[in-house]
Amino acid sequence: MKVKFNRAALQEALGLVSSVVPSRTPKPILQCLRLTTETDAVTVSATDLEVGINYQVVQVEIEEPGDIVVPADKLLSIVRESIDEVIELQADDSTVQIRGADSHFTIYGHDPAQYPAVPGLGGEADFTINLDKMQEGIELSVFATAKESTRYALNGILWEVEGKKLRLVATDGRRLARSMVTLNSVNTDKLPDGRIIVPSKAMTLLDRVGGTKDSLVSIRFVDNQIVLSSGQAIISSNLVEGNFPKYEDIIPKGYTNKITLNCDAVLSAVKRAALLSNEDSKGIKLSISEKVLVFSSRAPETGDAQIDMAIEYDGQPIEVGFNPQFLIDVLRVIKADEFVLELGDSDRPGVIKSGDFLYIVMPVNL
Amino acid sequence: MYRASRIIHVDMDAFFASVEELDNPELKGKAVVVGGDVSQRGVVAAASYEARRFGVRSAMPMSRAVRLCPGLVIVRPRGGRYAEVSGMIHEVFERYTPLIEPISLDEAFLDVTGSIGIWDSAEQIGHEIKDAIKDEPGLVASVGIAPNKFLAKLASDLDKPDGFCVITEENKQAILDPLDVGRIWGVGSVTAKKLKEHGIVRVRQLRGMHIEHLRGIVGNLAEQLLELSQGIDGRKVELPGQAKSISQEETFAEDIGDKEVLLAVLGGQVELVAMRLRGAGLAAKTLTLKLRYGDFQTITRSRTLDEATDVTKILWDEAKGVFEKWACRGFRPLRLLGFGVSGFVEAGSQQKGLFDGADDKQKQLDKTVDEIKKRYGKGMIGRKYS
Repeated sequence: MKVKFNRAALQEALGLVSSVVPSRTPKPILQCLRLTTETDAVTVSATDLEVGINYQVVQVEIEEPGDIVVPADKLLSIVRESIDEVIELQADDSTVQIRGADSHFTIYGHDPAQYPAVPGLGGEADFTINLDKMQEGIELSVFATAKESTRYALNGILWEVEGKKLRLVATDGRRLARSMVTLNSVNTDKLPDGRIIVPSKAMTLLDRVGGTKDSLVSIRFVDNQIVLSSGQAIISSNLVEGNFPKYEDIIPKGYTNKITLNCDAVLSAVKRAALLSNEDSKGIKLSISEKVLVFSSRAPETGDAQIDMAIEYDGQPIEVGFNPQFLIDVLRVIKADEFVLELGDSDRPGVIKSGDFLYIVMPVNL
Repeated sequence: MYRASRIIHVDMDAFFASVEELDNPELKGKAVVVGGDVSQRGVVAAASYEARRFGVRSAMPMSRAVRLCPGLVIVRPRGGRYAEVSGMIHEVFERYTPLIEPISLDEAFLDVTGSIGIWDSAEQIGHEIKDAIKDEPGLVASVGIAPNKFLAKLASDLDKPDGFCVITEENKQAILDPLDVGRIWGVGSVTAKKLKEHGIVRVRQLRGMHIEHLRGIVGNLAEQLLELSQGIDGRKVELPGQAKSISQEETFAEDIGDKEVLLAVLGGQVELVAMRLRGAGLAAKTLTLKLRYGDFQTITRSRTLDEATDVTKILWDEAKGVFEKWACRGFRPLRLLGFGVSGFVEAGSQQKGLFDGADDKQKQLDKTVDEIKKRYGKGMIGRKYS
């Protein structure tokens, strides 16, 4: 193989694809990337055996076709540190030469035949979605997934398809986010049985794929896998097997205390109140009474904080504690200027709504 | 007003063995150990200085101690009596400061910073304590005085037995520098070995390390080790009642290689620990399994939960998960198995969960089981653990 790359394009591809590479694995070859020449492009692939990605780099000049497998971190660092506009990769039997204007690196490659297959779309899409709508939906949900969990299948996002609507649901057991995305086209016969749970790693990856306003995501279900294709990227992932909790039951109904609030103002107030929250409980208190919302916190050995906000409210006074991070996370991703906060008693979950987005957050005992 | 801390560490010399000699003067001058039976794989709980001369040490298997010291007198431990004598010693401490942190029956830290003014100096208090322990119960203590806990403990150890040693800001570095790195608090045999592989044997060498370099060798311990190697230790004397962990462990009469049996033992431990946790009104975030193999190699495996819990079922599920993970990677028969929890928060003061409904049933069950156990004894009721 001998290929000249536009360095910026290659770096962009490597940056995205490398995020799939596992940091620790019993199979060292998984810490490599595979580069394969196509007719007018080079496909860069990576997989951790759960999530895989193929990414096409088109700003290339192929002199000799070929197929190489090289350590991801070394290739990425070399390309990132390079000062060249064009960088050349040339593969011999077992080594890869990387040349710039004043530089020459030799790195040892692995046998491409040993690299696990990374699936392509492999057929017609079961449904399609507008990429930027999908990315908005992902950003509104993925933050609420559990980072590590053994109790439920909480480190994935639940996909619920109903008509032309796709609901994305994520929870870590303490808060839950549900966003809504409209599908462009859908073939519901092809949906797998049972609940579809997609690992958050695959969803985050799709969120990072670049595209234009009109870019589409094509989605296909094959066996126990989902394949998502958009622009230059094809992401494949195993579906999560496990029990997503029955979340419908915990959506509060019949709350009468509703307040419309400004996102930026509340975000700022929460961040400031959080500065003096208790190490143990990490809670801040929201006290709502006629026309005023008070954010307060107390750290026993340090001091306390209070931020007052004028609001339109004339219902019953309410006091409730929340983990400020759970409010900051959601207020950062809501696109609209305003949201509606709905509250029940102090031991009942708080509800945040913005359009068809729904967020439920459990209180902290203060 | 800022006043430099004065910490005293009092460490009884061969405590259990000395109490036995005190109560039975015939034992005086003989090689005496307190501990369990040779046949029951007992270990040495304490050894008199005469026994130590033969190489007998505490925590050593009794069978080995007997081999090292043929005329060894083995005395069965009398826990109640040691606690009684320990209480007398504690009363001596209380004359000088309320800030007492008992480490065990025979060892305590005293913060006497605020007592100076009533007494001339920490040294005076140290001497008075030593004399009072010699007069009243009639035992010998080693005393270390320093600006912090680490140095105070080091001081009491440097001059043992019947020691009295003062470490000051001025002489601390000269004392620390030539010591083996193994004397630093937090450096166990594994860390010491790692350091030695990099040629770091003495505290002097450790002190000269660059933090990043050291981090590459010992990871997160680096900062702590660098501080301690310069005699800096920010830990405060903590009053009892602020338990940091609750645990249960069991040494088996014979190594157990049956996974089912080990799981059943673990289940019983989880149950007891969870009950004590609830009794204290606490919930824990971290759980730790302690595993000791036949060759005495001991490892721990921990897991930290997203949210603190006091629910037996959750602790059991997680403990079992940690056990299975260990078992599938490198199962070996165990000599000892232990389970503990730490990272406490007050129960009920924490974040509520969306799906706690399932846990509510478990909490009710725990409450009922606890009540039955309290009323009718621990053997009356139990879960099946497998």
